[in-house]
Order: sequence, then C-alpha cells, then structure tokens
Amino acid sequence: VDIHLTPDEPTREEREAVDSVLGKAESGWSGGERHIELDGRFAVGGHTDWARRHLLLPVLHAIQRRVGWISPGALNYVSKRLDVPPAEAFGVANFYGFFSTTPRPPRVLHVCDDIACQTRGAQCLCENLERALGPAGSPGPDGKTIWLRTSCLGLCERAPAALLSVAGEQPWEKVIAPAEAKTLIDVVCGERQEPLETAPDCFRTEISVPQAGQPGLRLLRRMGRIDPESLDDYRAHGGYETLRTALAMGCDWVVREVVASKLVGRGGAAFPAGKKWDPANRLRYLVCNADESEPGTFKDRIVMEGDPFALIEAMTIAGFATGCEQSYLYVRCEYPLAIERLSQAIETAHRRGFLGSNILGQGLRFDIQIYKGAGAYICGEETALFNSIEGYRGEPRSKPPFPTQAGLFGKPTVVNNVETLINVLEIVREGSEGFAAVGTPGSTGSKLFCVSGHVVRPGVYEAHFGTTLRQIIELAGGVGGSGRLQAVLLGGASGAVVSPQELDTPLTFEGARTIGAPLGSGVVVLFDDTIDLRKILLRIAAFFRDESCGRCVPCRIGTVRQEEALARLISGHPLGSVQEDILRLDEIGEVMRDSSICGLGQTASSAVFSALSRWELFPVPSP
Amino acid sequence: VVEFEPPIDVLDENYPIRLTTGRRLDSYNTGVQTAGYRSPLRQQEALEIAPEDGAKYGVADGERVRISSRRGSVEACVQYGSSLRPGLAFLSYNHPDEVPTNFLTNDAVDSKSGTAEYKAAAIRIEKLPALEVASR
Repeated sequence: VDIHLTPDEPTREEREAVDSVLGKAESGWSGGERHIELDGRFAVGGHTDWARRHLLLPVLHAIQRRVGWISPGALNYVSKRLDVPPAEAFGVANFYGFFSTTPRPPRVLHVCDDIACQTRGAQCLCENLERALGPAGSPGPDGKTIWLRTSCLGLCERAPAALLSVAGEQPWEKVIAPAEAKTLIDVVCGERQEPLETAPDCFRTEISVPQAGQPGLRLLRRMGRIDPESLDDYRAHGGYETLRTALAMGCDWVVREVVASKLVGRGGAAFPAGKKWDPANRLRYLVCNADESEPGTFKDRIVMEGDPFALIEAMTIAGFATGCEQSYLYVRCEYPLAIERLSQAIETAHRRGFLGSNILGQGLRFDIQIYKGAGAYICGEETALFNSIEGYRGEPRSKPPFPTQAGLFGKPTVVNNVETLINVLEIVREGSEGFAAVGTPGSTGSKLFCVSGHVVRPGVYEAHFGTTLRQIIELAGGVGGSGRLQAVLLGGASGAVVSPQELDTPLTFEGARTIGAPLGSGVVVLFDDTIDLRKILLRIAAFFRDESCGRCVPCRIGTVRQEEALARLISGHPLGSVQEDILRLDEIGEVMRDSSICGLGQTASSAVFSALSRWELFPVPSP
Repeated sequence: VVEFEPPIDVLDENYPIRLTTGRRLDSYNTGVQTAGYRSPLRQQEALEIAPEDGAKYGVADGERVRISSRRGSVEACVQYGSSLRPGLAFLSYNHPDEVPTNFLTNDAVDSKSGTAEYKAAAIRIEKLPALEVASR
C-alpha cells in the first residue's frame, strides 16, 4: 500500500464504475472509508489487492464506458484499489486505443478509414464528415459527441464501417455498416429522430457468408441454418456430438489426431497447432485468440457471431485434450455483437451443464472467461495478449520462454486462434485422415478467406487449400469496382500486394510462399485500377506506425521512418533523390525484419516491399 | 538479546504527538538526479498528520502552524495524510531550507548502534496567532 498519489479524487460515477468490478473498498488503505481503529493499526491490502491486477483492464473499461474517459482522479482510485503504482496504471490506460486519458465526450463515433473501407468510399465519407463536423477529433456542436478515424474495425464485407460507442449509466455500442455520411452526421449531431436499433449489430448470413447453406461446407456448415443464440438449435444440428466423441476416445487420441491431421494455425503465423498440444508441456491455461485486428480480417467475427456454440465446444475439446481447466477468450472490443453472443452462449452452456465442473455428467471440468481487448493490434501477438490479460501494457515478451513453457501468469499456456479451434471439431468428427483428405499435403483441410475490396460479393468464403486466388475471386462474384483488377492484398497489412499475373497461385501456405506472400489470416482485398496503390501503402505504413507498441527500437523508429519516406516519395519531395529514399525504405525494412522482437515489426515492411518489387510506383525522374 | 528501550523523548500532555521523520518518495539522496524535474507528487514540505488529529487540535488541511519539541520550534503547513494514525506525525528532513526538521529531533543516540533518535520526537502543534497569519 506504499503508493503516492496526486490529490485528484474520483467522482461518484467513477467510484461506482470501479466498484462495479471490484466490489466496495474494504478499508481506507484501498480507497474506501477510513476506520481508524482498524486502519490505524494495520496496513491491509498488499497481496490481496495486487493479486487482482488482471482486473485492471476490466476496471478501466468500466470507467471508460461509464464516464467516457479516464480521469486522473479515477486512475488514483484504481491505483489504490489494486495497489498499482499510479504511473503504471496511467501507462496501461494510455497504451490502449479505446481508452482516453484526456477529457472526451461520452458519444464517440469511430469511423474506419483503413484499406478495405477505402475501396468503398471511406475517404469520401470522412471528407463529408470533416465538412459537416470539423476535422476528426473535434467535438460535435453540443460537445457531447466526437468523431475519430480508426483502423480496421473488422467489418470489411460491409464497408465503409463505423462504430458508435456511448458511455453512461447504460453504456452501449452500435455498429453502423455500411455507413452513409448522412446517418453518421445525424448520429453525431444528435438529430437522429428514430432511435438506432438496440442490438449492437445485425448478423445477416446472406451478406456476410454468401456461401451459407451450400452443401460441402465444413467450417461454415451451420451458418444461416441455426439460430446462433439457441443451444437447442445447435444441438439439433450435430452440436456437442463431437465433444461426446472426444470424451469417449480420450484426450490422448484427440491430441494424436490433431497432430496427425497436420493442422496449421489459422491466426496468421502458420504454426503447426498440434505441436503446442503435446502432453509433455503440462499445460495450465488455454487461451483463444480472438483479437482479430489484422486489417481486412473478419472471419473470426463471423464464426463468433454466427456459430458461437461451436467455438465453445471446440474450446472445451481443446481444454479436455490439453488438460486445461481454465481458459480465456480474448475478443477485441470492436466486436460488440460477438462479445454479447459469446457471453450469452457461455452462460447458457453453464446453465445446461456444458461448461463448469461436471460437463456432460462425465466429471470434465472446464471454464471460459471472456476478456475484452481495448483497441490494440499488438495484443494479437500471443505474449502481448498475456500481458494484456494480466493487466499490463500489451507489449510482447522476449521468446524464449515460449508460451507452452511460461505463458499466461507464468504458467504453460496454449494459444489458438478461433478458426484453428473450429477446425478441431472437424478433426474429431472425421478423424485426421478424413480431415486431411482435402487440401494439400502441406496445408490440410479448408480455410476461411476474408474477401473484400473491389469484389462483387465480399464476405467470408470457405475453400479447400489449394484453391487458386482466381477461383476465390470467382467464388465471390468476380472483380467489382471498375472491373479492371490492379492488385490483390494477400494476408492483410502484414501480407503482400500481388499483381493480376499471379492469380493462378494456389492458396496454400507453401504456395503463397513461392510468390513471397504469406497467406496470413486469409485476407484477400481486391483493388481496381482507380485505386492509388501508393496511398494504400501509406495507409498500411501509418497503421504500423500507430500500432507499434514501442518496446523494441527497430520497430518503434522504423515504422515512423517508413511512413515518412513513403510520404516524401508520394509528395514528390524525396530526401536526396528518389533512389535514395527507396534504398532507405529497403534498409529500414530489412532492419525491422531482422531485429524486431515480434511479428509486428518483422512484417511491417512486407506490403511495401512486395509492392515496390512488382510495380514502379515511384518513377525516377529523367535527367 | 537486545531489550526494547522506549524513546528517550517521552510523550506527555505538553508534547502529545509522536513525530517520525524520513524521506519522501521522489526526494531521496541529494536531488542532483531528481530535483531538476517537476513532479506532481512534490509539494512544499508539510507536516503530515492524521485527519483525526487535525479535527482534535482544530487545524485545517493546509493551515500553517507552529511545531514545537523540547528542543526548538519550526513553522510548517499541515497536510492530512491517510497513511497516518492519530497521534503520529511525519516530516521529511530533505528540505531544511523549507522546514528545518532537525531543530525538533533529539540528539540522543542509541548506546549500541549509535543511531540518532530521528524517528521518535515528541511534539505539539500550535495554531499561529491570527495577526501573525494575516501579516504573512
């Protein structure tokens, strides 16, 4: 309890918000009422207080959602409650994009201006907003609203997208996609007469999953056929039969099958999933990574919104196979509907005995806790995600130790992406041979592709590994926009831009590698010939500059320098000559790739590299 | 075995408050590395007392008072501190230019360790006469 604070005091609302997560403060030492006969003799708190450090983010969320920003007084109270040094609490609040440590109006409109939305008029939308409301970050006419530009909200199939978050006694979020300037301006000005729908978002399979209902689907088999909120409906469509199979066959069998299936992680890093499940690791925690923040990715959101019980069943099987009884589901906070559906699904599963201490009456113990991100791309990196759950800044840790050795709370931990876990259901259902019967020897099974940009029917598509890029585009109705394809972004911001000549590349992990493009999380963003690729690269560079956590130097400095060099080249004022700036970009990229501690810095130059090697974007002026 | 010996400076009705002295979080050692920077935690040196004592002696948070021990007296502002229990006060000795704290403390040293009795002086707090406050 040896912390020193500034004199700032919390308001009543802030105190209530904190207490709603932590309960009432029990002594003067932790910010409550001072009872001199007790508090005067003993300093209480200590371990009991700092053992709750993992509640720091939920507490900050509660304040942000109640008041709209996190004031010094509120932070002081949080510091006292959790016995966290105030400088550290500020460091955490300051790290995450969705928290504001400066006064901000309660209604905040986040407007996506990232690459996928740019193909669908986000630029024009933002210009309209600027004309009507002033530049991003300026409060609306009544001072109760503010609009901000944001990076990808994961709603690319319905671009351009916006997210409204309203703080107050009953805080709420609302997804507005596709967004029109008029609606957004009305929302900001508070002039909208008819209230917005109360649901945070609507999930419409015919728009987001155009394949829904087609035969032969595996990962998307239930999309649009079931009521995502009904456990009975899920069971009527084969739900929880897989868990019974797994329980009957035993955990060793499940792990063996997952290893034999050669399942590759679908989160982007393409790590063999079975390796992490080795019983020799004596795993303690299972973490499902649903912090899907790669620009252009939305497949995990679709799975969570359209088939939440499948994820819960898959996590239960993973917990059974790896021996983990406690799991965390880390969802980005930009997905209000996914969080709502999963929370309800977990509660229902608990009530009906599909989660808890005696699952299916067979003594299996397993629990899932949802953990909400706060707007940080880097938290998709597994060790940064651990730090975030533990209540620290989401900065990645140095590896080794690897998560399976020392992960969450220092214990052996297995981290899997949502789509990876969904695949486990297929492996258990069909066996490893049946699962690996489709795809290629190096990339087994099928993959969800997030197709967006200038395409006729954007959405999530399931296709066997080995399907070519051209087939995927055909599946999505062909090239949209002007109809003349200029380039395709594969793998998201950390992926690569490829040219129309490479459309016959089979989309497998090994196939994509031959053209120097990572398959990543399955992002396919199409650009027609009206798009200025240089602007897209600049947006990607700005994204990485913004999202670099600053922990390691090459990435912290390199992402800034990369954006600066690109901006100079685009404006036609290179430092020295065009060649020198291009060379500089090369060098910065190489240093970041070789010496950053995590994937963010290592891939921050990937898209720029790939584009510069395929197109002459910055012609050297003739003498 | 070392027996406990109570402080030489005893508390009585004239000197009812125990003053303990020490350092403040951001003002350790000489200040060469720290004093050059601003800190929201660093304020004018003040006598920290429990709020209950403030009520008992009728001094408000922030009020300037005279602090006396058997050896001398100094003036300083009062600051209510929630980490103190009634009967205990705190001053730092980092800023003799602001408050010459060691005018109050005892020169006596422990016979075994030679440590001065900085942590246990007996003091009283007196309100300054209204006139003196006004002319300040």
